[in-house]
Amino acid sequence: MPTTSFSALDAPIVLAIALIFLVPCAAGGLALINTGLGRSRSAAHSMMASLCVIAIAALAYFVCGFSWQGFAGVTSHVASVSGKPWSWLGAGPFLFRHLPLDGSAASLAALLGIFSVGLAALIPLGSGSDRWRLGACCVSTAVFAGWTYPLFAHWAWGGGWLAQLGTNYGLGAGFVDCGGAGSIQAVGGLTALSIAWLLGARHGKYTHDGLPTAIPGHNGVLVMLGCSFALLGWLGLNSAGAILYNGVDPGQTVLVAVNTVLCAATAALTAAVITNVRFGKPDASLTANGWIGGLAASSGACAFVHPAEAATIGLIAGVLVTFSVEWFELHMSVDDPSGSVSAHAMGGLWGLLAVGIFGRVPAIGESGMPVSSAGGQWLAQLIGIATLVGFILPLTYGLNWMINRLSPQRVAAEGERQGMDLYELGAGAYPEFIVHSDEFLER
Amino acid sequence: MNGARLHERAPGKHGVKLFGFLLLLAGWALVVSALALLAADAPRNIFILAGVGVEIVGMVIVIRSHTLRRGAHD
Repeated sequence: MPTTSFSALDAPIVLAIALIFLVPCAAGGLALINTGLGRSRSAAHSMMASLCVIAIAALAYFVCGFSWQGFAGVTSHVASVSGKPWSWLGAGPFLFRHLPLDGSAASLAALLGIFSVGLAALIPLGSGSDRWRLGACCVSTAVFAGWTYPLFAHWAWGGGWLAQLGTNYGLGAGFVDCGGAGSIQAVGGLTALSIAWLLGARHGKYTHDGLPTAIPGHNGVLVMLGCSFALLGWLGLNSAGAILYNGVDPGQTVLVAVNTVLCAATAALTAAVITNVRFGKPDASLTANGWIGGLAASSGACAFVHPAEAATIGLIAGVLVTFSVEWFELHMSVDDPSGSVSAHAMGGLWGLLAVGIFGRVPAIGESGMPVSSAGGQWLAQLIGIATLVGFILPLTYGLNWMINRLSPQRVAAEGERQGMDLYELGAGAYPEFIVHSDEFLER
Repeated sequence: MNGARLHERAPGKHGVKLFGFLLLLAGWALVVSALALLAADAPRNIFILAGVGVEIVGMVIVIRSHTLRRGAHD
């Protein structure tokens, strides 16, 4: 028997399930982008690692992730802080026990979560491309999907203390994250930054003078195809997230979809124009990064802004992503082959801030009832961003640092020289290719 | 030379990085404490913004610690 407001054969259930089934397209898209922007001698390894990461993320989420993420209205650990209830962690049973998988709102959240945790776990794979050992990325993913992701997802989506900022302190509607700009994109992007820091740069990426050298992606077609798949997945992700976590009317999925497309479109075109002006020709990989950055930014406010505002959010995301890719590579010494940190972390954080700037979110007063004024929404968003940068980044860096101390996450120098395909899998993705390894020459 | 090994060889940077991460956590603690302890809007907002400022300083230090490491081995 259904346990929530959704009843069997209800149209919203069918719509929500259909939208959730689109989400794996986003994961497939990211896997193609990560592979295309990496080296040809690590292509099979990249796709293999993507499959393993999605599989392990789903299992870890099933074992303990969803119980810690929880769902609004389901039992959780609550601390009383100055007389206000702060929900810190879900307290449901492990292994989906006592969770009716029948179309109830909680079961749909579990279904969305099992797909979106895989999407989030794929983001660090892009920054660790060409040098992250398969075993190490599997262990890191298990920790990510079993602990880091559910913790923040509970705070933002599971009725946690960030979501309660509206009812507890009158800060707008509390922290709003429609499609996972924070829970998926920023958490994944900040983990990607941690992985890039811990692994260090690829051999030959920086000269002895400290200048970065170009290691172009090996297949632009895969990258662009990945962008197309990603759009399909994001349409499902943003729409399903808005319905499930923000109570948006299913009819508003049209607005969500329009905003998602416009945000991605303006971001990609902005990136193309900027690179064309700066370099004389539009850069395909930066345009793809702009597209993904626009999608990530759209996930914050997609249900609460006018299409013109969504286009503006995308435009700013395109500028932000394009310049931050260069900034991370040139000034921060971060070797991020897929631009994961810029597209997902910077795009996601901007998307969250955009909710406070542009969003018209129905506010909830301290009595728990909707109120007309949405004042304080910007502060709720700022607190969420501060939590991501001030707590989640140190947490995910610390966890991956410990994994690295127990077993080095970076492949041996010989593995990087041979390519991850031959070294870890024993066979290459393109056996008829001749690999030129001039980047291993001393510069 | 392996980039990760180059990082390990940089002397005296672990303390700076640790300090940066501790500042990040301290900034977040300031934000959460302001929410929990201050009822009036103005002081609460000021302390939250101060916490964000501390986080920015921490982030700059963490970034500098990684950038300096590259400079150390070049």
